[in-house]
Parts: sequence; C-alpha cells; structure tokens
Amino acid sequence: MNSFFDRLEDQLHNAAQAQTADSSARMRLRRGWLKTGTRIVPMLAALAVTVGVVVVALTIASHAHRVGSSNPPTKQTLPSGARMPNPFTIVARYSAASLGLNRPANLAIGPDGNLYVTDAAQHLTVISPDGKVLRRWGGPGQGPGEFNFVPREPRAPGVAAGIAVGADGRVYVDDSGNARVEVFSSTGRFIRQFGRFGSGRGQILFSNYLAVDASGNVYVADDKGETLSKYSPTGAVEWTIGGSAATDTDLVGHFHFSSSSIDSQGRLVITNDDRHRVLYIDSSGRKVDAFGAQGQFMGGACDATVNANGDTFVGSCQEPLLSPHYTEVFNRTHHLIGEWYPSPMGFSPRSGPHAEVFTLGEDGSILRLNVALPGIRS
Amino acid sequence: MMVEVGERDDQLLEAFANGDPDAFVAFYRRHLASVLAFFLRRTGDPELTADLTAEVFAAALLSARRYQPGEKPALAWLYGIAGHKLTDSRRRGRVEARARKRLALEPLVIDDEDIARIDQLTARADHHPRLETAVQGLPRAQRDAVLARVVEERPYTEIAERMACSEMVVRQRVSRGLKALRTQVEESR
Repeated sequence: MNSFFDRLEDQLHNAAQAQTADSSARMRLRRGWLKTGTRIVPMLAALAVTVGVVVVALTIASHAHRVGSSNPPTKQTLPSGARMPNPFTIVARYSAASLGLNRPANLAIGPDGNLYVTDAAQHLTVISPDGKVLRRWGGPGQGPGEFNFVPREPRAPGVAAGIAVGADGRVYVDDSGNARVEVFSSTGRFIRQFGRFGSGRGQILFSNYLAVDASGNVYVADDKGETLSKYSPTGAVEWTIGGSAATDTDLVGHFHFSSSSIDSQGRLVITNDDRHRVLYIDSSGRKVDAFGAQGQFMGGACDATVNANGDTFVGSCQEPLLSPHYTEVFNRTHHLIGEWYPSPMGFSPRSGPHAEVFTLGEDGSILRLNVALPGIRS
Repeated sequence: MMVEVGERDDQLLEAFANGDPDAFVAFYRRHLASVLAFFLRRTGDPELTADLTAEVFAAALLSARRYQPGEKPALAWLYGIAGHKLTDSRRRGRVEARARKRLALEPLVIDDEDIARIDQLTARADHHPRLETAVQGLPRAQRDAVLARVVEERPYTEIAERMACSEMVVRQRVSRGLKALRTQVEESR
C-alpha cells in the first residue's frame, strides 16, 4: 500500500490537473471578456470624442469663459493573473519607525480626519493625515487608560487592539488582554470602560474587532465566544448574536470588521471567515443581506470595510506579516469590481470623512491610497 | 511540459500556472520534507504534522497561480501559508480542511509506517533546525533577500529589481541577514 505522502501526491496531482483544466476554461472566458472590452473601448472613445466636440462647439458658440474641466483618466492596471483591475494606488507611505510605532495593530480615521493607531507598544497614537504625530497615550497595564494588547493568535506577530472613533470624536479602544473597551476623549482623557472577562452578558472572552455607529453604539466581536454584541452609548448590552445558540449558520463562526465597517444605511458589514460570507447586520441585530460562498474570496474573508458608495472591501485571512494579502472590492450588488494581489495592505482600506482612504501596510507602514472606482474617487 | 530537475521554485509555479500539473508535484516533492520538519518541530505531533502538511500543499495549489515571483521567494511564500495554517489550527484547536475540501480531496489516514517515514524525512531536512528558526526570525526584508540569494540563487540585480531597491541595499541585507544568522546559530550552541 502506498504511504500517506504518495497518496497525497496522487491527490495533488489529480487536483492540479483539474485546476489547470479549470484555469484554461477561465482563461478562455477572460479572453472573451477582454475581446468584449476591446470592442467597447473604441465605442466609448468615439462617444467621448463626439461629446467633446459637442461641448467645444457649444462653448465656442456661447463665448463662455469657463472651460469645463474633466478628471484625468483613471489609471487602472490588470496585473498578470489578476481577474479584475486594481483600483488602488499608493499616494503616500509613512513608515512605522518614522512615527515611533512598534508593530501597528489597527487604524481608524476620526471625524477630524486624523488617524488613530494602536500598536504593540501598548500605545494609541494620533497622526495627522500628512503623517505628523500629534498625540500619544496609553502604556502597559490594567488601570484606567492603560492597555494590555495581546497577540491575535498564539505566536502571531500582531496584537488585537481594535480601535474606532465616534462621530463625536470619542475614541474606543479594544483592550483585548483586559477584556474591556476603554473610551477616551479625542485628546486622550480616559472617560470610562465597559466589559469584563467572562462569557456572560456584557462579558468578553477575547475581543478583537470594534466599530462605533453614528449614534455612539459600539459593536464588539468576541473571537473566542464567536459572538457579536451591540452596546449602547452608555455601555449597556443591547443584543448579542452568534455563539453556540445561533441557528443561522451564517452566524456561526468568527466575525471580523473594523471602524470603517458601518455603511451609509447604518448596517454593520462583517465577514464570517468560517462560512466564507459577508453579512450585513442592521442596528437591531438582524442579518439583512449577505453574500459569498466557499471559494469565492481569494485567501478567505477576514476583514471587511465599506466606503460611502456602498462598495465593500474584503481582505484575506493571511497573517499580514507572513503571506501575501488579497484585497477584493465588491459593489453594492455584490459583484467583484476590483482586486489587488499581492496587496501590500495588511488590512482592508478605511475611508475617512472627506473620502480619504488609509490603511496599514503589511510591513506596518501607514498607506494613503487613491481608490478609483465607478462613482467614487478618493 | 517536462519539469527540469534544476528548475527554480518560481519556474515550477509558473509552469503549473501555465497548465503543467507535474510542476506542482515537483514543487511538492522538493519541499515536503522541510514543511514536515517545520510542523513537527512546532507541534511535536506526527499525525498533526501530516494533517497540516496536506492542508498546506492543498492551499498552496489553490493559490499557486496567484503567486508572483517579484514579491517574495516561493519558499517564503510556502512558509507563510504554513505559518498561517499553524496559527489557524492553534486558534481553532483543530486542523481545518478548507483547502482540501475545496479541491475535493478525500481524507487520508496515517499509519505507523507513515510516522516512521515522517521521522525519516524530517531527519534529513532537520540538519539545521536552529538555522531555519533563525531565518524565520530575521526582519522581513533581510529574510526575503537571504532566501532569494542563498536558497534560490538569484542574481543581486534581479533581487534588487524585485525588492524595488538598489543592488547595494540587497547586498547589505543579505550580508546583515547572514551575519545575524551566524550569530544566532553560534549563540544557540
């Protein structure tokens, strides 16, 4: 009888054959799409020229002084092997070292446009959009205003230190090792905390993800309890979904989201990486929309953010410091409209109040991005 | 297409992406022992090691077409997948079979002969366990440069192009990386 490894080799060989056959079929499809695109592009160009001629003619005819300006053409690339255009361009990069950060863990954008970053040094640092450190607070400990960010996973390089900033400028920090959420003013004054270790109501086993809505309600995912809870602005539990009691399979598993995961309809957009699903949860805890299936998200679905246009950015499950990251963009009808692989982003992009977009790079740097998508341009 | 014995890892993955299933099998054969050693050292459990190894190669097969040689050496990419699977299994308390399920691979049973085979293979790959641990502990830029230069034997010019930096910077990274490795291995003796 063949050994385990011979049989594994046989299985891999058969799977590789099937994959290459499947790949050939997809290549044929893609070529078909490109051919269609080839036909469409000249048509669009001709249309643009026609429109341009009409505009110029009308301008001359009316002796108008104002000449209409148009956005420069959007540069989109189609990297080899990619299925979709890459809509992202890095326009600025601030290294962690230049900002005095030690392994940045998470990033949120405040209503003032400033960046709020947690790191493994147990600090929260406020950084201006042009990369200047404005404030820093925290420090290791269990007291008010102190942090104990612990590794997201055993031996993983990153720490769990979710962060979100409310519309009123209050800063919410997931103090993972102390099983609590701490609330600060925008200047770093400690206001209060909620949550304590445990699996009961209002208790947290291991929080990893945090978001706050426009009304100051706070959403916390417990990665150990596999639950999602909503807390009122005063820290009272409003509801909890998921966990062992869940009957909807979409709500069984590990949830992921961030400060930029609440869409314009007030829905919290989360991923369930065990189920390969993106879920839209309304303010009363009901799943109102969902998409995704096993194999749909390259590298899994472990991070979701949204922009003002309703597009959803899904990040892969690779540990940012260990393997290449995927970022995929889906429009509001859940069609894939862009992707970036291998992406230098460690997390899905966060959108700010002025449509500015930032994220943490897989090397810990802060990246400012231009995102060119239909209907939105940052 | 025939796979050359001396073909580099990225060439194997590229050949697979271009429709040659044998290329991936060659990649598997080349790195099976080191992946087994990677897991055995970290888990101490041969059955878990076999399970994780099967999942890693299935995951690698699924994402091989998206591997881009310019980003990092294929070995670092493979260890990246292995590291992720290891942390994932620790977090969940079990080894997921997602990739194998996606490929519709049947579960494989491991027996005593297979365990002996793991010992045999890992002993061969385990000449320098401290070295491998030290490599994984290098700063990313140094690790990628060392793997590209020493393991994949890439020319400095090519590595510099891939890493978007000058050849001098690559040489410094390789030099510093190797120096750090020497120091760490000597200190651990």
